[in-house]
Amino acid sequence: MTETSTGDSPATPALLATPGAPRRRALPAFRSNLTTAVAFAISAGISAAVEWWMLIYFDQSVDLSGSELAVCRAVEILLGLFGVAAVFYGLLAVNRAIAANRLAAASDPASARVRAEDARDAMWFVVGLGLTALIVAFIAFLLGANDGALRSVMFDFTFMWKGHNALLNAFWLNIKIFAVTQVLVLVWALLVAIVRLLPGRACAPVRILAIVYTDVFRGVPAIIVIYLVVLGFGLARVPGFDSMSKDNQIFWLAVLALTLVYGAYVSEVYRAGLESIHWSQAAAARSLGLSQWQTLRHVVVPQAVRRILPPLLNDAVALQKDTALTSIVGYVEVLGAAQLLKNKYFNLSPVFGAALFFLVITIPFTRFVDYLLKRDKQRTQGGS
Amino acid sequence: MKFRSTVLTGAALALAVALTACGSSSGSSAKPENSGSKAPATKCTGPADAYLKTVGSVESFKPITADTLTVVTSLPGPGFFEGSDDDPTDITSGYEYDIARAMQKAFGLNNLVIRNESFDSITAGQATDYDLALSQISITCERAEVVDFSMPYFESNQGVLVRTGTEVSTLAEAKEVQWGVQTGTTAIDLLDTIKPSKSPRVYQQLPDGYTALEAEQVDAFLIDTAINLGQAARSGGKFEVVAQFEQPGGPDQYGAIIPKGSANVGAINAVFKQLTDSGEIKALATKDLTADPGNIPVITIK
Repeated sequence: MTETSTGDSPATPALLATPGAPRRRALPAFRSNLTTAVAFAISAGISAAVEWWMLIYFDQSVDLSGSELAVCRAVEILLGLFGVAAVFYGLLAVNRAIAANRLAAASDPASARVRAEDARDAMWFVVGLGLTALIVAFIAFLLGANDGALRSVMFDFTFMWKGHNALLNAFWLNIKIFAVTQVLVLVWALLVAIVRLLPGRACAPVRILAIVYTDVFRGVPAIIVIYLVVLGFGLARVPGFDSMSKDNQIFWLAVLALTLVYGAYVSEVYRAGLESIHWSQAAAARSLGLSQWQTLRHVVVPQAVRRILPPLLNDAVALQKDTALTSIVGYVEVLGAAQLLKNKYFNLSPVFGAALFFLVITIPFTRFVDYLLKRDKQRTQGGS
Repeated sequence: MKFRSTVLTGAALALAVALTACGSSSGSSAKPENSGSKAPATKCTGPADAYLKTVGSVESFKPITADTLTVVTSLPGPGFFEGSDDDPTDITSGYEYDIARAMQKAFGLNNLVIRNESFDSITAGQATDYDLALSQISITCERAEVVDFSMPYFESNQGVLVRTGTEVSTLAEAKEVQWGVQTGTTAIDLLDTIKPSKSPRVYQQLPDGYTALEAEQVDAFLIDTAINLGQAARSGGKFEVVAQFEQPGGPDQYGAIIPKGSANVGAINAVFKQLTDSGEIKALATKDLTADPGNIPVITIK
């Protein structure tokens, strides 16, 4: 250790301590991180051992043969490599720390600090790898527990495959409900939001009506609204719906129920968007001679919608999932179909299969929303 | 580093997902591997193979809770559990309730506890901590793989409940109506045979199905004739049972469900045998199930 310093303020970033800075501070003490690296390497070894034990436990629950067993073993070994990699990086960290010590001893403080920093980097990678390995192996452990019971009651792909046609046909109904409802929601919610923002005493009654609507329908669980609307409107023989065919009736009642619920949510999103447009925009538009309606149509709404696109898509994802709630009123959409299969095979795997259908739609959707958010952030805060 | 980490984490998760596929060897049977190992030696082809015929001694009965007979059922059960549609502590009469009482007496227990469970969780063997389930459960081979059945105590066809005035008297008419059924019941299997032109609506709960019938969202509700007769009797003339199906494999036979592998089957069968031999079980049916299914017109399925 050739470098000397007080080492009393290790939190001070070394970069600030450049010569000529107004308040010069001493560099933090040089640390090779060797002890920590050794500790991390040992932990990596332990976690790898635990991981392998869990994987072997899983392997014992597997009842396969031939090429299937080979594939399965390959997957297990690949997972096991995460533990091995953690150990490798642990040893790498130790190696780098030793090198840092050596460089420090050879009076090369700059290189020593770089090496020590490399060691730290490898150490944290050990933590990342080790934790991932442990968590994933724990999943394997759960799947293997009780002779693979969880796997055979929930994740049996033969049952999923047996029902894939029924599930696919049923999922088409979910898509239809979603598509129609989403369009209606976008229109209806914008209307509610605009009404809620109408100025003056003259519009107060409708404004209050809009507030009551959003409060009520945001406050009531969607499943209750669906239950009440679909069965209630049917029982009450509500005109318009009553003359429809049975298939149309239940479809449009389900659409109506979901529109009411999601209209309330989305109108709040719209309102936030509309209110985020600075009042000077509207003022400028009005002073140019645009009417209230023209101001909304050409100035406020276009800017607001662009701003709220991500939360709108978020609500679309939620709506897509909530179409499964319509199974409560006897609609055989994907969840209903999955439950039929579940009762046929006494196995929950078809229900898990239904979940996969939703994931196929919602995961790309949410990734897209994330992308939009990121782009939006870059555009508004990145500073070009 | 960030990219590398993302790829690695993604790979780890993908591998974990791949693990779920391990162990589900293709062509595995419909039987969960974790169920009891008391599989019947012969292949099950109908109700007659699906229930356990062992008759033991009544004294060998061991209740799950001391001095208490715990019976699960799926409410409502018009005619079978009367007194309440949702609160099992309010049940005071009914065919299956009377059987439970007789059983409690035969076993010399002081308490009878009725518990409400969903129908499909009972038949799928998911319900736990009970002595027996009496819930108008038809004995089937599929169910027998996950639960044990006692000997049958009742026979029932599938009956057609409609709003008063609706006609369903032929198989052709049965193909055209919008059916409603309850999930997990044998009515679904029967509709698979009938092959109606409109896909049936499936309800999680029996009362929802009856509400949908009233709301004209279904034309006809299919479940065991005795259950539908009970509902028709309560509806104040709104509903009626217009037909019942004669199934190719004979009528459904009700059996008590006993948790898979339970040692109580012999004792429970012994009581059923006593009740049948003494004619008491017939007398209870006449007392509790007012409408006689024998008077309902029959539609034969070939």
